[in-house]
Amino acid sequence: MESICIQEASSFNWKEYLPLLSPIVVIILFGLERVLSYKIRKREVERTWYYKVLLDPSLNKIDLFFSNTIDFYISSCALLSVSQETPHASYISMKSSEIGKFQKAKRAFDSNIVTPIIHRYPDTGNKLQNSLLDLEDLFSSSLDEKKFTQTDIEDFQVKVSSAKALWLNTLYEPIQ
Amino acid sequence: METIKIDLSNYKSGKATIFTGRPQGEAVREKLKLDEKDNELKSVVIFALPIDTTSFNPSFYLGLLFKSYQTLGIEGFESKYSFDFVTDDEATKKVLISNLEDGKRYAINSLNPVSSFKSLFTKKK
Repeated sequence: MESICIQEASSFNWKEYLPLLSPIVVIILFGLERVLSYKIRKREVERTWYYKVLLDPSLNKIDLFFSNTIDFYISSCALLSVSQETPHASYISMKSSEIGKFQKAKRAFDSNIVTPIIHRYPDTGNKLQNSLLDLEDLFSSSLDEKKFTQTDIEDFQVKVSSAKALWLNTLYEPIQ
Repeated sequence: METIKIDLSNYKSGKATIFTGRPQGEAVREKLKLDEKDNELKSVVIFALPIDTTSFNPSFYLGLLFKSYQTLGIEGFESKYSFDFVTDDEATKKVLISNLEDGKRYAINSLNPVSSFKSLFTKKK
């Protein structure tokens, strides 16, 4: 009696279940396709949102900020280069005010453009913020080192253009 | 409570009237041994900005002080460190105050970007 039971238990015939294999595979593939398409759709919604809410409205402002930076620098150079004979204390005050004008514009740009990004995409936001700090250092140290000649100004323009290109590349990272 | 006054004019590069660069700030931090000062409970530190300073950039501020924010927290930092302006020129003072506020804002944002908005609206006790 015991030997019959063992025989029945071990006589599992996998061939009987073979017809079920194909529907099982179909169900698994269907499930995988649903998960995959959900993830693709979610990513697409995120990309669209980022583009419409953060990127697109900012592009003109970004362009304006970087071209204003060059304008600020040119006007600061013009003012400071003709004021070098003024008393030291007045010159220091003037230089500080010129740097301060750029910093004020940078602060507004930072809070309008970078702050919304940093809260949702901290890595990208931090990179953008560090680039702005580098630009601020470039602006203030160039004025402090009296880089007022035409060649200096052209060099500054090139550096600002590079900073802008880097900025835009970083800005596109979340949708790449 | 002991007050330690640090004259930053000794830590400027050459004839510069500005303080810039995170690495430069970190180098000054190391020279001043601020890691050790963070842990000295019975002292406060006042940084004196030289009279001819035209800008104290946030990059330098972060290099100099961000680690202290991490060690002490925002309130601990504020009760330990402060700045003194030697200049009497109001325009320059205004720029320097804005610089320090920028540095503080960047430090707080870097500490905790998600909850940093809360700190803007939390009243000091």
